[in-house]
Amino acid sequence: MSFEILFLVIYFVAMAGIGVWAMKRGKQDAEGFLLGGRSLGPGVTALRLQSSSMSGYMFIGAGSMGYTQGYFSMWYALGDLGGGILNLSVLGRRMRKLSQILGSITSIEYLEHRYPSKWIRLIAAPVALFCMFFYVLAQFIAGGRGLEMVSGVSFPVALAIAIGVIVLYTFLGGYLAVAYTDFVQAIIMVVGMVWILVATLMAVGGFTKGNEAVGEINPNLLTMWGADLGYQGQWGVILGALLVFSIGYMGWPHVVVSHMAMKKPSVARTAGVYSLIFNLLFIPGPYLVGMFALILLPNLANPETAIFEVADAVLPTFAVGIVMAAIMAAIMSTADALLLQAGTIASQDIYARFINRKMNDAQMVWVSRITVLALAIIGYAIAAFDPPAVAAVVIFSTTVLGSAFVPSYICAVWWKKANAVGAISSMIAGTLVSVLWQVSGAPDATGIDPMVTGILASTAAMIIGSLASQKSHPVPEHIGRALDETAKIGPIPKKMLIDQDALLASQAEMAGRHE
Amino acid sequence: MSELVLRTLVDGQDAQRILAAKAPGLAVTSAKLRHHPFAGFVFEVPQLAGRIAQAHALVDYYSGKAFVTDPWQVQDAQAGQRMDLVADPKWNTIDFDTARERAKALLSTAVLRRARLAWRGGIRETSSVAKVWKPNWVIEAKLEGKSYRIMVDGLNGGYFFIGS
Repeated sequence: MSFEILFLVIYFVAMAGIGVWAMKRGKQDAEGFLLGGRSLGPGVTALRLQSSSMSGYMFIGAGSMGYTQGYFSMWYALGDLGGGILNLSVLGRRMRKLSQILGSITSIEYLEHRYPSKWIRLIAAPVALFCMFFYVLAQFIAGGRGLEMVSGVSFPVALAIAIGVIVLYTFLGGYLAVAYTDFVQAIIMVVGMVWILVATLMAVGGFTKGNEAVGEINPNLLTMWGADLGYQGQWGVILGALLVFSIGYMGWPHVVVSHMAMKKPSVARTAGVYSLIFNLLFIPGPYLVGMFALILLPNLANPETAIFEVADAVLPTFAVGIVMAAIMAAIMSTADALLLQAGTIASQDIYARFINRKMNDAQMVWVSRITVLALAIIGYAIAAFDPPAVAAVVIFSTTVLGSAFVPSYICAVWWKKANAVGAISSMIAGTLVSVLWQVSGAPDATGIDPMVTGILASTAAMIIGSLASQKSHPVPEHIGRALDETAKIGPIPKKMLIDQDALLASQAEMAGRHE
Repeated sequence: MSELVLRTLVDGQDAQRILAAKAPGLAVTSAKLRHHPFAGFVFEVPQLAGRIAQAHALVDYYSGKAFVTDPWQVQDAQAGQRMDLVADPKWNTIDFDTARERAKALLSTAVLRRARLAWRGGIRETSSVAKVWKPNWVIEAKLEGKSYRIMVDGLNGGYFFIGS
C-alpha cells in the first residue's frame, strides 16, 4: 500500500472512530443536533458553506480545462464568481422573501406553491433528479480518477471503491458529522488547494515566469479565446461559459430555499460576503494549476489528472496524502449532499406526493436509501468502461438545470402574469432544447452554447405559455398578494442590507402592513 | 395547553441598540411590540446510536413556514398584559392540521440531513400548542432624512425592513 493510500485510510478511519465515540459518549441534545453551528462566526460559516458546494469539478474538471484551454477557462471562473453575487443581489433577496411568504422548505415545493399545479412537481422533480444524477456521476468519476492515480489500480476498480466510499459516507456520515465537520473539511480543502498553488508557482518560477513559459508552449493559451483561438468571436460559446455557473447555478435545488432553523441570522448573512471573498481566492486556483501543469508535465495522457500529477510532482510525499484527503473530502461532501437531496426529491416530491400520501419518516428513509443505491449502480454502469469528462458532465447538468428552472424562478418574483402553464412550458422547453442541442452536436455546428439556446427557449415558452392561458389559468389571488408584498423590498440603507434576516419576511409583511 | 406567549428576550432598548449598532445615526421614533401567531409542536426525535431527544418546531399560521427552534421560554402568567396581536390577513393563512404536516415534514428532512441514511425514522409528536404568540418589534426610525419601518425579532434580534 502506498503512503498516500495509507494516509487516506488512517485519516478517514480516525475521523469515523472519533465520530462514533463522540456520538455514544456525548451529551448533545436534539436542538444541538438540528441547530448545530449557531456559535460559529461568519468566517467559519462561510468555509462550511463553501466546502459543501465545491465539488470534484474544481480539482478534476477545472484543472483539465486550464491544461487544455489556458485562460479561456477563466470565463467559467468568472461566471462562478458571478453566481454568488447574483444570490446576494436584489434577485436573491426577492426570491428568498417570496419563499418565506409562501412557506416553502424545498425549491420544488416553492415552485408548486408559486405556480399551484400538481404538474409542476411532477415535471420539476424528475428533471431535477436527472440533472443531479449527472452531477453525482461527475463526483463518482472524479473520485475514481483520484484513487486510480494514487493507487495504480485500474479505473473500474478505483471507481467501484470510490462509489462504495461515497455511498458508505452517505449512510454513516451522521456519525462522522460530530468530529468530521464541514469546517474541518473546508480547512483541509483550502490548505490543500493553496499548498498546490503555491508549490506550483514556486516550481514554475512565479506567476509571470509561468505565464511566459506557457506562452512559449502555445501563446494562444494566454488569450481568452482557447488553445487554437477557436473561440475568438464565438460569443455564443463565451456567453454560455459565463452563464453556466452564474445563471445556471441558480437552478440548483439548494440555492433558492435552504433556511430551516429560527436562530440568530446575522452570521449567515455576513457569511455570504465572506463566501464571496473565499471564492475570489479559491476559484481561479485550480484553473491556474492546470495551466501551469503544461510546463511541469507537458505530456499528460489524461488532462483530468493534471492537479493530482502536479501535486505528486511538486509536493513532498506526506503532503500528497493531505492533498488527496482534501480532494476526496470535496468529492465526498458534494456527492453526499447531492445524494441526500436526490433521496429527498424521490421520497417527498414523488413518492409522498403521488404514490403514498401517508408516507411516514421511516418509509421516507427507505425510499431515499433505494434511490441512492440505484443512482450508485446506474452511475457505475455508465462510468466504469467509458467515463465521460468530469467538466463536460458538470457543465451539462448545470446547463440543463439552469435552462429548466431559472426562468421559472425569476418570473416567479418579477412577473405577475407568470402562471402554471407558462412555468410547465418553460421547464419542458428548457430541458428538451438544452439536452437536444447538446446531443445533436449543434454547439459545434453553430458556435452557440446550449445554455444560451436553453434559456432563450424556456424564457420564450414562459412568456407565450403564460400570456396564452391568462383566462383559463389565472394567477390565484393569494399569489398576487404575495407578489405585491414581495415587491416592497427597498430601499434599505446599504450598511443594513447584508445582515437583514429573510426569515422575518412574512412576519414583517403581516405585522407591518396589515394594521 | 392551547395557547402560550413566548417571553420577549430582546426588549425595546435592545432592539434600538441593535439597529443603532448597524447604522449609527439612526433615530428611533417609536417602538411597538406585536405578537405573531404560530402553531407549536414538540417531537421526540430518535437520533443515531439509540439516542432520543426532544425537538421543538413552530409553524407560522400566516405563511405556513415551519422552523426548528430552541426550547420555548414562556412568559410568566402574571406578566401577561394586553397584547397587540397581528390580525389575520386572510389571504395566506393555514390551519392547524396543515401546520402539523409542515412541522413533521420539516423535522424529518432536517434530521435526515444531519443523521444521513443510517437514521431509521420514528419521529413522534409528544405535545402541541394551538397558538404560540411570538413577540416582534415594529420600529419607526429615521436615517439621513428618510423614514423607515423595521421589524426586530423579539427573540433573537434579527431585523427586516418593512418599508420606507
